[in-house]
Amino acid sequence: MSGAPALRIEVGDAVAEARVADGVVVLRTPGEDDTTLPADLLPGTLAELVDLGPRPHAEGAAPLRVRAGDLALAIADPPAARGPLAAVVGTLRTRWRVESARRVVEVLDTAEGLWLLMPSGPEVDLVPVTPTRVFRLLVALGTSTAH
Amino acid sequence: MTARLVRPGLALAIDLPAAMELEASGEAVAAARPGARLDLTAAPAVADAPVSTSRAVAAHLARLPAARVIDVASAPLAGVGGTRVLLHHVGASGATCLEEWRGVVAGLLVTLSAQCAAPAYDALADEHAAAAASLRVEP
Repeated sequence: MSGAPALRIEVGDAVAEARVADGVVVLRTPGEDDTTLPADLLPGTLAELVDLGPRPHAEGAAPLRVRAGDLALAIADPPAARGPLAAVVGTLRTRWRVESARRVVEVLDTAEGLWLLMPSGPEVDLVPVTPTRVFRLLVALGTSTAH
Repeated sequence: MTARLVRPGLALAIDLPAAMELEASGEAVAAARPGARLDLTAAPAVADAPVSTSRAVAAHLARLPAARVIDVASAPLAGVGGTRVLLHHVGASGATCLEEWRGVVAGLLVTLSAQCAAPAYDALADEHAAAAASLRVEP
């Protein structure tokens, strides 16, 4: 399956890879044996890997646009964050990212809700989203990879 | 297509997704298409929607140990405050998404359940949400 479409999954500092071909997913996580699953389990597996579950809905919060460097610093050292970013990373659980050849889903998972990260040149838009919205993005990413 | 649920003291109407075929209406509504189905039920309410949802989720998790709750939210249903919950589980027919809306209307716990194959969820979620949003009390 070395040439099969791949997903790169980052959760905090941990990295995993999933390859999809012939109706199966092979999940590779460092230090563990490969796991082979039916391809229709991919969305649920991704949800499990990123620990997607109920969170407060932050939909009413205003989106933010910040410099990518400022965001990286805020994630690396939340207590040192200032301004609107401080409120976001103050309850940070983790940052995760799932990337295929065509799509990326990157999220800040906080105790106050989920924020979708959307690069915009040298800046990043932080958009408050619901777990349902994030799950739909994972389903779409998994489906596009499987096909 | 509009389907109706009729119980003593309550009549509900729901607009079903065009691709769905009506299987039952009357005391309950059921509609399906390949890989997806909707079920609308009403039963005497013994608790409010949030408590009923918590109990239902606990029952789902007991019955489906590998199920994952994706989202729980407040959501209006048939003109009253209610809840929406989204679960993912793996059953005999493969990975499945189960989305349920609940509200208490005229003393009845009204539940709309939408199920579909997990890979189809993104494509069908808006249709199912539109059906939930269409649910209304008829005079």
